[in-house]
Amino acid sequence: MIDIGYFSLCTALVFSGYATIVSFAAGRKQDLSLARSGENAALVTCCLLTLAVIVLWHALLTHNFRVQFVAENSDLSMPVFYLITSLWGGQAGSLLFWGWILSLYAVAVIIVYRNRYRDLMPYAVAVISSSSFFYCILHLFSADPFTLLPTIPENGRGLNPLLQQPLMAIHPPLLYLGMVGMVVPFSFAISALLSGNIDATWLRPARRWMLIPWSFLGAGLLLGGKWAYVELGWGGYWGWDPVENSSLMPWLAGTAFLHSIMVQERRGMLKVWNFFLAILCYSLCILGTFITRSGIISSVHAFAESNIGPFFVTFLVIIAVLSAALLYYRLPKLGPENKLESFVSRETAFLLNNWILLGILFAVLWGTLFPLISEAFTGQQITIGPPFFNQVNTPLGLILIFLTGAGPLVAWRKSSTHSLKKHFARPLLFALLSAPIILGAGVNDFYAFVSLTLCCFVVAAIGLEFHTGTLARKRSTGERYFIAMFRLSSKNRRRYGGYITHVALVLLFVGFTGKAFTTETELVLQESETRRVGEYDLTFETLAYGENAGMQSTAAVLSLHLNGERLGTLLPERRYYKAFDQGTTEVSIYSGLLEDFYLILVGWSNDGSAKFQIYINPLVKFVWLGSIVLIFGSIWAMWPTGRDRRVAKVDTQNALNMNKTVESI
Amino acid sequence: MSYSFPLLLFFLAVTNVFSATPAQVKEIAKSLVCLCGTCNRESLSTCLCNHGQSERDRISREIDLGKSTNEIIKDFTDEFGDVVLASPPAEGINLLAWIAPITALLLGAIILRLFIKRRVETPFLSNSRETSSQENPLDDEQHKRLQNELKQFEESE
Repeated sequence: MIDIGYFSLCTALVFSGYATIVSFAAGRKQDLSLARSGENAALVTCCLLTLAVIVLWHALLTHNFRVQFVAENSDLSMPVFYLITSLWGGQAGSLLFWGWILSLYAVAVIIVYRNRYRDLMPYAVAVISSSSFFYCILHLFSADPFTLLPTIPENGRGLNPLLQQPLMAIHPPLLYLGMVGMVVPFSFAISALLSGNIDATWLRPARRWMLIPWSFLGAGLLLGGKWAYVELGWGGYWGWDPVENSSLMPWLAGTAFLHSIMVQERRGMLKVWNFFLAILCYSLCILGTFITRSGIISSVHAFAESNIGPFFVTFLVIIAVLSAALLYYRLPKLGPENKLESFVSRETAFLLNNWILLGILFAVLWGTLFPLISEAFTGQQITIGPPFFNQVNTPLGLILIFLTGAGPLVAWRKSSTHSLKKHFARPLLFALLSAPIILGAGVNDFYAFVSLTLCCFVVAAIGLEFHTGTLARKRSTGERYFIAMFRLSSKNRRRYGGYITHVALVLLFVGFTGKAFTTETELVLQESETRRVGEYDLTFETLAYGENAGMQSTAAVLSLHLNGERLGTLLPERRYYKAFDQGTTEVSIYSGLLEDFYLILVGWSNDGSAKFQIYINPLVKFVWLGSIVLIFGSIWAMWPTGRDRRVAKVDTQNALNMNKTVESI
Repeated sequence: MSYSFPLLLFFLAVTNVFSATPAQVKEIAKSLVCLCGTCNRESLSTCLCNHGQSERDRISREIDLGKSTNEIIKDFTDEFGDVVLASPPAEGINLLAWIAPITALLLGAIILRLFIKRRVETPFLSNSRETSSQENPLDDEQHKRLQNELKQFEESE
């Protein structure tokens, strides 16, 4: 069985190599039958990788501990759910999973665009297949998931206890779907450059296929935050860890891309820049994978150190150099079709948006990599932690949130002073009126005050966009208000989906701002003792112990009251996993509307007393709410409209007709 | 007691002696990281591991001895090196950590400014465009025609 897995990887290597070469040749000759052959090879690659994944899953489910990966990442006591998710719990398996997702993307693109973008598709398939080829090399020569052990252990080591959490089961696949999927817009960018068809055609597939991984990546990041919040026990959801950073960076670049392509579609400008961003996105994904998996920078997420680093560096350099050369080669054809007409225009707003997004991106990249640079010069290790990132990024984030509201208010081409006044007056007035209320609510931190005021501005600006649009539609159609609003938003999905994600950003920022008001308390409580924490009364009832084969656990039982009303029982817990010699903290959270009561059991003593760490985290709920709205907004924006479907149909029909003509000749 | 981790046991023996407030300790711990080797340089103010706990106790003791924040942090850097600081000191090569993002941002702003300036048309042209497009409100006749066109467009979809 295991041999089948290994053999299918070997065959996948051959097929992906074949798909790359043949598709490239098909692109050069614009030969449809060659292109089909390449596409079929990509489909076969996917089937073979699927087989390999099934074999590994089978090995995990049947506890085949002869396989090193199975022995190191699962054990007999694990439930089926975690046996399945342990596929991505270790280096080799998660890389296989990664390569498999890549091949699935290839298949999806081939199916969706089987009869469209025929001049671009062969190259796109070639680019995706070349990535597949690279991952097959990794599977076979660096991180073989089917390596066998000389002796068969009786039991496996089990899955890392930190990963035995439902959120953690879905967080990695979402991130992978995001990071891997960025290959598609990249492949369309490269195919446009290779084919010389460098008008805005490539942007259409690239936009849709950027939105998909971009949404997955966003969802993955936020779920990761949620996981950190409930599992790591430090009261926060974002720690600027190198691995978090390395998945944030492609997300930022993708956000910049999704905005700047609008300038090209609308005004025929920023062509080079858009190619650059698509290339940057994918390069950052490779860089991120490299950072995560090479163990080069210390991180909570680090996989065991391995020899995988040089492979990724080589791959990254090849991608960067070839793409840059290609872009340079096409430079003469990439002049702008229009000129900017004014400093005050939507175009400029998008440029500013890109400037600030890339500014944040650079700060994050720099902070992540600087410890290596510094160590190379001084020989001394340094740490770049949250204080650095927060100090650098907070002001930039505030500019970003301002632009979120202001950008859509500025007209394309040129906004006159009159139009600016008209559009900005009410949101600004709303923000000015809300400022004293925010101050009155006790917000005394400068950044927090600015942030919340700006959030009010953005909400008013976007609300007005919806409102005026709806009124206009209502006037012309006579529909009722909410129906008009719904139809308006579903007829212009891109625009209003975009606005919804802007609202999500506001919610996220409100949540982030809450961090400024977190309060921490450390308490030692005797049994049955009640102590007041903020407005809450916390009673420590007793300690409870439990043990099973792999794990010892100690939990504290506490009850929480607010103004005499019982809110519930809290059960913070510490666990100790023998096989990993690792403890985990199970936080207990009472989540109110406006703040979370976040309780950690720090330790206990023989006399029955216990020590607790408490965070009262205001507004955290807005982060989770913002996440949901963000996902909703992206789905709204990417959902095909009736018009999209008709365009696709016409494209397909044209392509089919052309094929017939070619065949008849 | 087989249940409790021996690592976690000792804390009560020392906790109650201090006069330094937990808030003071946390404030200092925030600028340091935990170097136990397993928790990946988590902030010393939040790290729950044993090493983190004893390092916080140490800060507490040093506060009791009347040491200033800077002196305490210096004790830590003397012992562990700069790696114990949550963000690098702004001196020597590490000054670059702070300067580079700001420089990049400013550079970006300058490039952007030059780019826009180069691309902006002469005022004369843009004015003539403006009068011919968007900014003019439509008269009633035009408005009606626009609505009809839009309606037809939607129906044709």
